Amino acid sequence: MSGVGYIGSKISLISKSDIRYVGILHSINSADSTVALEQVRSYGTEGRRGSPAEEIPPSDNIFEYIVFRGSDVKDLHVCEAPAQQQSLPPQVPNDPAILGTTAPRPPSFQSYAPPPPMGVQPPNFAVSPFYIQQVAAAASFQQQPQYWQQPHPQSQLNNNISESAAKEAEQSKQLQKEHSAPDKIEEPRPEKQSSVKNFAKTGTSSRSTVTTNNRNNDATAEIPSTSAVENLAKKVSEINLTTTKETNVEKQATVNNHARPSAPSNNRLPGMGGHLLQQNRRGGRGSRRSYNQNYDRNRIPVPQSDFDFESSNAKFNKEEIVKEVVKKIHPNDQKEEEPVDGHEEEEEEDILIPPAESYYDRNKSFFDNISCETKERLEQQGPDGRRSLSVAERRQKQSEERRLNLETFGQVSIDGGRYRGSYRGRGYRGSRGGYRGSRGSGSGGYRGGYSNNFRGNNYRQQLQQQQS
Amino acid sequence: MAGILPNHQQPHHLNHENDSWKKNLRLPPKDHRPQTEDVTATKGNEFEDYFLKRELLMGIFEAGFERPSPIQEESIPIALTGRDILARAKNGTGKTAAFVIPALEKINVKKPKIQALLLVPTRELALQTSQVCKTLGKHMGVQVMVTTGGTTLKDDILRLSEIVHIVVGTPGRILDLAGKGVADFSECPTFVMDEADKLLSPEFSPIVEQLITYFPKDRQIMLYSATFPLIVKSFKDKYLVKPYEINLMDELTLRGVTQYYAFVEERQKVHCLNTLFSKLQINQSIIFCNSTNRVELLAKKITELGYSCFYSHAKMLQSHRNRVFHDFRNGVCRNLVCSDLLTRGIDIQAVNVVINFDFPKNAETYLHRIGRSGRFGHLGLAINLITYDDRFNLYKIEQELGTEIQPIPPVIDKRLYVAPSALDDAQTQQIQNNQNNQNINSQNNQNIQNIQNNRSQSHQNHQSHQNSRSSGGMRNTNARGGGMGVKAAS
Repeated sequence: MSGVGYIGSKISLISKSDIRYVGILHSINSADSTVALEQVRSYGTEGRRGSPAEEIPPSDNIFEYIVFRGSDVKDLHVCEAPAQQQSLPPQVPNDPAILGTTAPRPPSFQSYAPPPPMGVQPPNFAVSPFYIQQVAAAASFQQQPQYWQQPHPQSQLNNNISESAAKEAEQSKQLQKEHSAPDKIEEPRPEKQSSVKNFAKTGTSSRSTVTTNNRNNDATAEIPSTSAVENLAKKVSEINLTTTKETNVEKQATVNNHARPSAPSNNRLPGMGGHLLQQNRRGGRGSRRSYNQNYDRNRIPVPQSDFDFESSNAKFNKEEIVKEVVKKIHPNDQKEEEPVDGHEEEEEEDILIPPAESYYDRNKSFFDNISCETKERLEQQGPDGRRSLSVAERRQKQSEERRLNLETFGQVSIDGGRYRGSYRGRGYRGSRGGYRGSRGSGSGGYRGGYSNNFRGNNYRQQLQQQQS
Repeated sequence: MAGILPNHQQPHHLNHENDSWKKNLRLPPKDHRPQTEDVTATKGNEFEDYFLKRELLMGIFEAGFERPSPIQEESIPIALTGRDILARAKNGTGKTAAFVIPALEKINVKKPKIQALLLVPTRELALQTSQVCKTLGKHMGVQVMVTTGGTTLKDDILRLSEIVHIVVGTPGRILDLAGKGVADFSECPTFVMDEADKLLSPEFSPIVEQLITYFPKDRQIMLYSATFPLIVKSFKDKYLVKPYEINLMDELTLRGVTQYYAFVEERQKVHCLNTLFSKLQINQSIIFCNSTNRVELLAKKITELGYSCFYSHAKMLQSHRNRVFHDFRNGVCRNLVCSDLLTRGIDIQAVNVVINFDFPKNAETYLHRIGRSGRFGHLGLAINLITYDDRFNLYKIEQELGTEIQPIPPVIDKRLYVAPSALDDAQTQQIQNNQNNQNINSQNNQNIQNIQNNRSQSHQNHQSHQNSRSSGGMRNTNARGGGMGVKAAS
């Protein structure tokens, strides 16, 4: 269907009655020539009728779902602001452009829909607000079928939804008459509207191509009276939303019919993936934007093709490691068994592979001797347990991680490096160091003393790194 | 209650058939997934055999527990005698209930004093453990308090002005409360340390040793973990009195978890993960990174790729960490990216895949990480992305754990990690194909074979008289029923 790529976008629509509506594009039905918006707010006529007596005032109510007759739609805009949801009792204005007000939202718009196999809410939520009794939820996992994971459109980000999902929504329209109130109620943000033409300038190509093709296919089936719908389709296919800059263009083009919208669209709280996509995370600083733009330029594309595990694993011979390990331990020896001479060399190696001994044998000892964090730290600290990383060593470690992150993600950190540093410093370091400081707020002196005596500051910083 | 305990007809057992109170229990749905002998190789005890309070038994059964797991069989009776315990059992085989049940049993709810301290190393684990206490003790009227860092101390002080029988928490905060005289452990006979080796690492042990001084001289100390490095021995020698040692680990790794590696270049990791997402039948997954920055970077990538994902690390606010943990556990989201913060003890039964996006540096961390799948003897997958730089660590960890991490095959048999009920026709078809595919290696077949054996045995009547741990004598695969939730994780 035309304009399908813009389902989920915030649309401003003016009807022939001059009333302006703002809502989220739910679907465009070219057969019936209708446009369906959800979470619709009426802004009234805003002076368009030219006569104060005839003006209709704006309404504060949000209507769950409104279907507009395409022929009665005078004008359409796509708004910049991301969709926000509100729940208020609906009172639809008397407008002949409105065909109906009952329909469901497609799954992707439910602000907190649980994914398919995990739907059961535990019964006694009240007992423990953070920690629900797990029985019901866990049981539901194993008893319901599991699904392959599919990438799903994020309504606020990708503004893309599969046709099948839209159809599903249409089918469920008959079944579902009541709409649950959205979980999150937020004040509507100030509308930043611009005309479609303005946005067209910022559009990127690959996205437009996809939707334009769709439009051409569908256009043949459309009937003349759908001018407004066609208009919409044309406009939305020509423009691009600024938010799509953040999304993976390649992936969007391939969102397939099996897409299973399952993520909460309102996933922008810290700890939820969407939070990391926000431009003004953590209080919004002016400089943040530029980091993100830098990031966009540096990003590493993810190939659409499957990763070839077989050929990649073929580059790696696990058996070879053994030989390398032996060489490492006995670099000067041809024979493998020469423990005395090899011993000194051994200590200089980065990675120590102890001679074949038992790491764990239940019959010999209750205790094990496998590598663990404690051992790692003791090695770092040196024999007296006091030595910690020098400033230079720490810097080297940090730059090592930066290099690695750049290689893996095309980015050093989410906040472009600098921001992260200050974030950490302000929150934690001020209060007696790292992770430990954040533990007992207002705690007594024992810890400070213990920290000073038991290990130095540097150790704590190491600790902080390892805890993360 | 033959319906609940269908195969329990051994004459040597106490007769529990007249227990009419059981008829009023509200039992959760059963978990019919196959289990390995890590949890099924029991002696055949019943919870009733321990003469537990009626109210406690009700809580146990209503949590979906049917019969004690091996570690519970060993631990509960000894713990009830008051003896110090040093117990070692694999990840997710029921350690938590192994100490929570005796701790609850010993509580006198009429006595308005703290009577048990359950110490754990992380806040999320504290939440989880306290919930197990509340669930199992829900008919007892026991007052359980959870206290960790990252919350307001004042709230804890207020809470302690009321009756508290059991305190669950992390070391720093509890020492705070004890040091201020707010939490009174002077008449607290029971001191349990879960993930004891972590609590006795240099990071925590000075706190723990101070904490012990607030306890009475004749307190009972019980240590539980899947890993016990030698460093714990000095603590044992110093503080434990003739400890009873329980060791149920013939080997370190879980039998139900199949381990693979995928050799990648660093820059291919995201691509590789994306492919794994599309190929694997993930019920829920936990993905580990080696730093906080990398957790956030990866969570962002995954979100951009269009998959739902949460993330958690130590630098987040505790309230945010709690919400993530809570919501993930309730299935709000399929994937969780995290640091080693959630490496230990976290019990989310629905997790069937663990991915080491960054390979860990030591065997201990590796073992605890992959133990997040395959909970309570169920099947799971651990997939390790290995770079050239990781090769020695791969070798080291394999050697130390005595396990094999195999190259990931082009097709992974779903029976290795997907619940049978979730294998639909299309997937069964695929399995047929897989069976013709010679890429399934012998180890995998072994695993599947084991499971099939277990299944068939579960239909037979049990010869549970003998201790069949080594023979793999499988009791009812449903023995632990739908209790997967609260169950007994370490």
